Amino acid sequence: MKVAVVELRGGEHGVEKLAVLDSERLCGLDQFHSSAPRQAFSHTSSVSPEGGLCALLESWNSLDASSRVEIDEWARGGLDIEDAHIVAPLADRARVLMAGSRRFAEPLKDNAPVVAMLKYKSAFADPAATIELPDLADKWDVDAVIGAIVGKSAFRLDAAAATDAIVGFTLIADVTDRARFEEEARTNNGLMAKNHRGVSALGPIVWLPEDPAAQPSRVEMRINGELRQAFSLDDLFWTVGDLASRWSASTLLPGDMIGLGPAILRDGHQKCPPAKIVAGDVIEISCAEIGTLRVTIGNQKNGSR
Amino acid sequence: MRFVTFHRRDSNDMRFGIRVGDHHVVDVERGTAARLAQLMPKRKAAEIARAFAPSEAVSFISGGDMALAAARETLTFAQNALSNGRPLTGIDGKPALFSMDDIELDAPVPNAGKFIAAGKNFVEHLAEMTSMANPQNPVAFPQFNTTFAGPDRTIPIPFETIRFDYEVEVAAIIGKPAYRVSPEQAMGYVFGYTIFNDLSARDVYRNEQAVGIPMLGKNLANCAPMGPHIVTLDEFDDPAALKVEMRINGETRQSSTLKSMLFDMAKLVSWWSQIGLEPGDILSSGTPSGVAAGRKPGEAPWWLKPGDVAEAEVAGIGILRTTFA
Repeated sequence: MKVAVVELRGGEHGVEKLAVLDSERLCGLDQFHSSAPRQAFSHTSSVSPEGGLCALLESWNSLDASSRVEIDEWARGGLDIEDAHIVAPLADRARVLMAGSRRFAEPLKDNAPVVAMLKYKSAFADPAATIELPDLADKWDVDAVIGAIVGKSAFRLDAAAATDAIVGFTLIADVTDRARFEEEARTNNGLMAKNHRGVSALGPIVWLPEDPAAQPSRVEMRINGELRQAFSLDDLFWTVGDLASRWSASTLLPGDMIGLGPAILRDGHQKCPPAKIVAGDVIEISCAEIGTLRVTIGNQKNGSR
Repeated sequence: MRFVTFHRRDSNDMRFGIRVGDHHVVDVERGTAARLAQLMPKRKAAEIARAFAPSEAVSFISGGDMALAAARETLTFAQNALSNGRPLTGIDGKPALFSMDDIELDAPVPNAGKFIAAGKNFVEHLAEMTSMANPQNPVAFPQFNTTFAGPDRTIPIPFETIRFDYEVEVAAIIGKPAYRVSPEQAMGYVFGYTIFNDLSARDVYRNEQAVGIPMLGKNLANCAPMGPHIVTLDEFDDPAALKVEMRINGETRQSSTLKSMLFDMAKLVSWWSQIGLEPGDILSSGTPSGVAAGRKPGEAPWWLKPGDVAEAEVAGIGILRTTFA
């Protein structure tokens, strides 16, 4: 099932609803919840617009396969909601842990510990947004990343159990202030470089596979139509289970997201270097199961002091 | 005023409250509703209390000056009830005033969106840890809110580490949305201060540092004890000069003042406001010298071990006490 988080145009600003998506068609989950197939969610009242994305993620694992198929088929007959504005499908207070390494020139060794950078929710713009880069920097680049979404609390899990805690996937345009990152890397943090407000993007939807073992296929990133990055999960140094297991030492919660690649390909970092971006660029990150995350880079914006 | 997040010992329901003297806490929403119910119908009182003095830390702090004004009147109301020996109950009939014996304190802002913890921010600490020059800009790492722990807790030493360290710090709680504010403006965006013991797994940290960016070394479970309460800035004569101290089993290990910060709190708030700060976000000061990792070869090791008791004290705030198991 593909789930979008939407604001209805003309509705109250900031009031988000869940919707199921099929191609260009959306159906509010409240309509969905109040009609067929009621059986699918009959065991939980938490899957409702009020319950939000986290409640849906937490419930997804407990649905049986036939219920998931039934939900998906029903969603294909959904209603058009032309006035829906899709927002970043990220739960409140969720953390996005981006796997990474600052030693870009060297392939990682097999026993390399998992390292991460954190992106806060405030770093993300909505899918289809025009991103205004702040005038705090002039060297910006972007990586395509698959976001694996945690569906249940995870604490000190092994890789297999941690893999089971992942219920869905989305796409991330991970925009970095490269000069700041290089400075911060010398002092062991990348917090500001990865967290300028609203410069990265996430979405457009969350894909909840009917088959829990299913994973997104090949991901491609194009800048102004030119292919700049391409990879699949099989190319990556760490598996989603490795990463979720490692960070479960600190506890993962439903809605948390783990960013996978391409900065850490098995063969080092030269295959998919970050792509520089400037005003006017159109970034498109695509994956068959998730769709296309398309954002435009606007002019730089001045800060208000 | 001093604010706490707490729960009754017989419940997991976390509430936001105000310290009433040293021995009591008033639930800010229930107490405000009870106060207002003397002036208006109960239903209206409950609605106003929920809107202006909600019993959840981030929501309350987001209420800004209106929330603080409501809390101030509710504190007086609770003090009067206490001095008159009157029980104070909410309009829902549930207690609104608690003895400290009946509650446990939690981390003051358990749902903080961002916690940006300064590193390498005291010159003497930098010297004991590394030979690197003073950083040109603030250094920090993120602290996850899943690692928060309340005061007076017993924390198991994580099995992932054998070099477990302490760090006394002051943590500033952001009170208003701040985006690219100047250092001169910055302290106007701070709601108050609390105490933070930045428990660090030095071996995990160094292992991460060798290949990239440390994260887990500062973010193992329960490794961010905080509290016991938030003290609003108006309570301090000079919030930029607070004395900070860490004692382990009564022995002083760290002792300094915030004057020794390389980047003071105003500069930290200003710097990190470049990514946008929201009410309830937390910025910590960094720690002075005297940590276990700063011990030299031949000196007795100071790594934390089961049975140790850490007391992080900040003048004007109090003591954050943690026992290790």
